[in-house]
Amino acid sequence: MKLQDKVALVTGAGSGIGRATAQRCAAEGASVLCADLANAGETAEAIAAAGGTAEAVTMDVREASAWAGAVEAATGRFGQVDLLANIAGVVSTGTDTVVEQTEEEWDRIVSINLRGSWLGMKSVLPGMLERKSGRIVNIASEAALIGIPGLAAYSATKGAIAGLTRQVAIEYVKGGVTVNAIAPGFIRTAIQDGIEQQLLDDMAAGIPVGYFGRPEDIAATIAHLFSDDASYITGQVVAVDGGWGVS
Amino acid sequence: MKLRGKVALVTGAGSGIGGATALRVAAEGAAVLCLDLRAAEVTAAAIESEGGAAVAIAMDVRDAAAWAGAVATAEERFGTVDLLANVAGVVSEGPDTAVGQTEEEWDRIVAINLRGSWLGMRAVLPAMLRKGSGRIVNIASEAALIGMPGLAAYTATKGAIAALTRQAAIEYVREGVTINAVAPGYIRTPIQDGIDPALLERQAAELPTGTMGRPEDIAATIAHLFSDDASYITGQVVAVDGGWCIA
Repeated sequence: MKLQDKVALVTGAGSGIGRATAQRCAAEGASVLCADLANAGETAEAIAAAGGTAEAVTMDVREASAWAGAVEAATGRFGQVDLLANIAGVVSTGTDTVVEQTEEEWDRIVSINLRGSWLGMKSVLPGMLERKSGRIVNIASEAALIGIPGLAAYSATKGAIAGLTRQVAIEYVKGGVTVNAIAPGFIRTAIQDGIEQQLLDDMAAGIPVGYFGRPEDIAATIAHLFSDDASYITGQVVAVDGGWGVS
Repeated sequence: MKLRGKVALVTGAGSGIGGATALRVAAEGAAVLCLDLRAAEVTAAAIESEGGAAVAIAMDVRDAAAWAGAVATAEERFGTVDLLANVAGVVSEGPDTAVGQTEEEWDRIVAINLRGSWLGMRAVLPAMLRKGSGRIVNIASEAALIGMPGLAAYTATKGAIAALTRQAAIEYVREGVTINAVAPGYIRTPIQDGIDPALLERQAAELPTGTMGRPEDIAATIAHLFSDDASYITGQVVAVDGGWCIA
């Protein structure tokens, strides 16, 4: 129970890495505000059913006013926000190469993955700085570490997250707040549900360890970075990728 | 108690980061072989007084026969070796610049910091590979990430550790063994005992956080990397440095 009495705000909490993170934080004793466009309520219910404390808020991370509402909801219900996990993110719905990407889809991806994470930090940091205590974990990607075909706009946003994580960490390094990112490798989530099984198997075989990571693998390292155990870690991009980035 | 039932070998266990690591790993439920040239028995006694299981061995990490003896002792006393923390390391006794360093002292530093860690991995890996499970954490350094005056031979060994960690991780990535490194920033240990306290304070003030790290900060991340929580992390060099390397 290394997050006892903490209050966590988790975006993308309706599924995948976000849901696993919300559940893990709750299992470690935190009260969790589950934020997502869809299914945040299901995650909050699952947490409550397991004996944890959670609330759900349906929100779009691109909207500053929604962020203000989420922080207000967390503060009203639980007193403050100690921990922010910026997990909400998307891949392109169309072909994501520099040549073929459309302006509209480019802007959508940047707006959710990058602007959304910034707005989240902008929303929770004033309270954290006032209390001189807070933890933020952003989600970068393997695509921030190596070149991956078909992920142009996505890679740009994840590289931006890595850069912004370092910058924000140093900006507030004496303010009692740590800011880190995780670079997940190939994690099996609902994002791959449309992909043919044979192709998925081939992809897994191409990973050094030979299998996909689980959302729980990412959640576990987020919980570590949220805990007192990680108080001297800031500005880092920690790869949880089965050795992909180093092979 | 995330390391319950595990057996750990910790070098440099007589003091500083090694001592804190042995204590933390024991507190998480592992039986610990405390290895050091000096004071390993002090740490082992501290673990036993807390109700943990520990054995001390006075050994030199440069000595392959001593490594064989340590592994044999671990197997006799505790049945196996699951975890290795290669913490033993030294800085130069004289000026450590490329020009000012002596051949004798260069060779001593390389033998302890690099060859000693390799011998440790070589000693424990066969058993880990037979079982299809094991965890190794090496100690790199801030000096593996940035250039630091007066640490030439030391930096060479720590850069070597970072590269060897990646190589060994990938070599055995499908064998159930993860191999990572921690890059500690400026951590307050007995290594600085000879330094004028006013100078130490000035050095700390120059760190991004304004504070030196504690051996316990490193031990906590080693415990994370040893745990099931980190099963999808391998080949990484995790900086625990209060934001130093990204400032």
